[in-house]
Amino acid sequence: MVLEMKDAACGYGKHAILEHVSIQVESGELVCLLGPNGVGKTTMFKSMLGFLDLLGGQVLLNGQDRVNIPRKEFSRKIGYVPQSHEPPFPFSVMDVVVMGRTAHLKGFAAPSREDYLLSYEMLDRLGVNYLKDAVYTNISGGERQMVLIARALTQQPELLVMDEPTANLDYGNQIRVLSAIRQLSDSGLGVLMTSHNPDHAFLCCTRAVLITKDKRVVSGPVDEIVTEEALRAAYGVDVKITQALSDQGVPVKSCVPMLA
Amino acid sequence: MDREYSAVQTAPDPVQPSAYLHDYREKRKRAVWVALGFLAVLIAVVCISFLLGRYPVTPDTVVRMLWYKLWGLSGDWTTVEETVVLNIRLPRILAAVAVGSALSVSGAAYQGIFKNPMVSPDILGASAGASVGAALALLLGWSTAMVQASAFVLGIGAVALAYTLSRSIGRGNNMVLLLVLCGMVVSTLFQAGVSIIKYLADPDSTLPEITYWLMGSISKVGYNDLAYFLIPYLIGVIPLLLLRWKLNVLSFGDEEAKALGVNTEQTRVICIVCATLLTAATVSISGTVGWVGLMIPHLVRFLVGPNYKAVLPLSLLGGAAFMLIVDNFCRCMLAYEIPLGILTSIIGGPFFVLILYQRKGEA
Amino acid sequence: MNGTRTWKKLTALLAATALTAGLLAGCGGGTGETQNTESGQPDPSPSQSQTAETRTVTDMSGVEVEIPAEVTQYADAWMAHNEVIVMLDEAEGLVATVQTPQSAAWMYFVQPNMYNALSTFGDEFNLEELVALEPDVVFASNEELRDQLASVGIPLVNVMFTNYDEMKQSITLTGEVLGGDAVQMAEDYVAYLDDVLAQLEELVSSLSEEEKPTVLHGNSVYDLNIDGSNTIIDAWITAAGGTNAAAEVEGNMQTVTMEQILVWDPDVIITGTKSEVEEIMNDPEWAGLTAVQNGQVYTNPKGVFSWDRYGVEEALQLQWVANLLHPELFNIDIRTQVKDFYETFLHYTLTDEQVELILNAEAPQ
Repeated sequence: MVLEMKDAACGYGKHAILEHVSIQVESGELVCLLGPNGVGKTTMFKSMLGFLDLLGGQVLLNGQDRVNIPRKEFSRKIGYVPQSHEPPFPFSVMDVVVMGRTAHLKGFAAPSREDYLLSYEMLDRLGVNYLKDAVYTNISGGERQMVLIARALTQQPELLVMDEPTANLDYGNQIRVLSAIRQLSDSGLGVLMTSHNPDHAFLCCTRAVLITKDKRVVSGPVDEIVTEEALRAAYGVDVKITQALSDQGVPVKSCVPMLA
Repeated sequence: MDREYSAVQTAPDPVQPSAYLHDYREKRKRAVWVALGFLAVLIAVVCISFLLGRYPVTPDTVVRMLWYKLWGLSGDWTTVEETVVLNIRLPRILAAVAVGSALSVSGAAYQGIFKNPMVSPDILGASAGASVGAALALLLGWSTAMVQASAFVLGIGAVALAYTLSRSIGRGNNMVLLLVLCGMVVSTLFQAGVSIIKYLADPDSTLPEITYWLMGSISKVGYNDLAYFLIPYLIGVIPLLLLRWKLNVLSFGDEEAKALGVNTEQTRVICIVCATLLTAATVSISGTVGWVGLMIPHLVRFLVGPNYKAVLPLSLLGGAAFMLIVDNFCRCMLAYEIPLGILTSIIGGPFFVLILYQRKGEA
Repeated sequence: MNGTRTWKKLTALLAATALTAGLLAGCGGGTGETQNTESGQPDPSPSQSQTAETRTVTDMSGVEVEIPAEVTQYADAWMAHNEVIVMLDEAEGLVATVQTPQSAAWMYFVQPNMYNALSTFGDEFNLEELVALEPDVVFASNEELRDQLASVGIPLVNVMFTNYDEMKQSITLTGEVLGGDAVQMAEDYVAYLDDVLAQLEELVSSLSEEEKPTVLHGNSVYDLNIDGSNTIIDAWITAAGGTNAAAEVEGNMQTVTMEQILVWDPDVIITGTKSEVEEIMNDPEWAGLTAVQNGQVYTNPKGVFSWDRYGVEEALQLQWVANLLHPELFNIDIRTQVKDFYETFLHYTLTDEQVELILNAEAPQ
């Protein structure tokens, strides 16, 4: 499974924000998309998922142009985890998760018993099965993020696209969500996520894509992309990259910002 | 609130498939009981409505008459009693059921489409348009059938205008907000139209007619009107019931709905067309009856949660029962007819405040 | 439906819109309008009105109104009272009215002087236009305009009535205001009405309650729109020896349920149009009613004014209903009565065909 953006121009109406974007994500990969605010990360995301029409170029799923793939079929391959938000109605957690089955439902059908059991399985797999009787609007931000991930998993996709999965979460919850994402990636799922924190790329990602201030898109292994120079070019601030050893003796890199 | 959750297990656990089965069965059972409860209430209200009225007909006569008529037999009741039960009460009961259910279903649907629980069926101008249509027809002295036709056509027309306007102004972004804004503009314009027509109307004859119509009533609905009403009713209700699962997904917003595999454009247009058809058809036979489309879906959500799988059919049953109860008051309480719209507002307003109070803790 | 009145209103509305637009575009057009109105008026000479002779009358709301000694021009803001003017003055001094040829076809037909008066739009006079016409007094049925008119020196005489005593009083008052022959005409009419009422009182006193048929009346009975108690309709039903079937409902033009009408089961139904009579007679839902089974469904006559409402033809309505309810006891030829009444009080000689049209509430041809 490969989701690929090829020489794409992304933007609103006729105004292109990003041009000549070429990136790709494969099954089992965990790609982190980095870049400063307003540079077009969200625009690129929306174009990739078909929320916005491309102004040029193509989005290919296994070599097939997205434009020719029916919405439903695309959704069975690609899951989307939005930033958590307040829905207008107090849906129960199970109702939210089972919505992931929509792409698999025939015609006018509603989710069946099997769909509900699968939804519970996904909650269980993410370790939040205690939320099964909760109301989505009453749970914490971290829990909502987990529920939305569970919903995307219920979609049974081969790739997950996540919009800032750690936004608005406290430190502990950020780490918990990240480790859940890595588990998913380890189990063979491809993941493309955006983040504001380059450390997240070091923590769990196999590849990084960096959009710089001058709208160049560079991608490659994390260690090659996330460098002190690149971060300075992208964000306009000075950082030092340091390294720590995990309990297993694996080196983990981290950014330390240098305040002016 | 912020509970801890453990990180994912290293290997996806072979979850015992029955872990949620018990919960699921319990929930299904409860949903079935709630649905049966709503149905029982509606049936009970329908039965009681047959017995209520200003003209005295004994309950056993009513029961015998309905039973005998069902088998095409004749009995010992008077012609006036037969007129009262079969030609006055029955069509009115059917009208209340149809109007109440149509308004509630379209209200619930609009709320999902526009991701807002405070939306009522006239959000896009259907009621305002239909009001102009009816007022104009009354001003020109047209027949009842033409009044209904004119209300229906202009009700649909107003929504079509709002939709076309929003399409021509904006592309892509925030279509829903734009649509609601255009609906408000169109509504205001048409309401001004009603005011002009009322100003032009003869204060001795036409004006009271228009005012009465605007207050809403089903006192003059006959079998013929119901037959015509049935067509837009079925065309409106059936697709909404079939698409009700997708309304859940739509209420999460366009992008998520798309990502979950819903053709949002198509689904939304179908739902708007159906809900508008229902609203316009209802307004055309009953005048503007407020509150029902807002209140009933709220009450249902309060009882069974927001899942449209339950909300839509239960709104249909609940709206029918509510309207029937209110209309029984309209026709029985006093010697003269109380306009339906007035009573729904008098009952609806305080009732709604009560629900908001009940829910205060949850928000 | 009355088309012309509607069009007038619409034209006025459009004019208002255009004027607003003109004012917005620049002040030139707006000031021109004002100048026109001013130049159309003769020089106001306040000394004149003060020195002119005046007298005082007490109007129907009990207000002592100072009016010019001689009243030659007047405006009438109450539809029903226009008929009183037609009777007392042949509408000769009428300069402005709320009536239109469409809303009162017979009034304009019988008394073409009506056409000389300005038909104003809506229920309210355009004050400036009214002032320009210089009426000596304005007749009205309420107090809304009193202060405004007083500020431009025009007295308002309230002539409202809701029952027979007030009606007699109001007609006498109008005669007094107009002076001359009108005083005698008012006296004659009051005597005529008194005579009719006296006859009916004698008739009714001979009736037991069971002998009084129940009557259901409305402008549009088939549309379930009926008149209840505390109305002039209730008054003439009772005076003519009937009982108002809808007495438990209060007020004019109330909507009721079909079931309620079946409960009342009136002996006689009187409705506003001939076509409704046919609809009532042919609808199976109505077939069970006593009135329908006995063919006692009638159109209420309408002449210079609707007989059943607040006009001077109320005197005819009383006789028509009494004759309808008690043909043996009150045996008159209503057609002769109508002809005589029109000749004496409305200054017009009707043909037999015209009498039939009035009895069927149809327009003059």
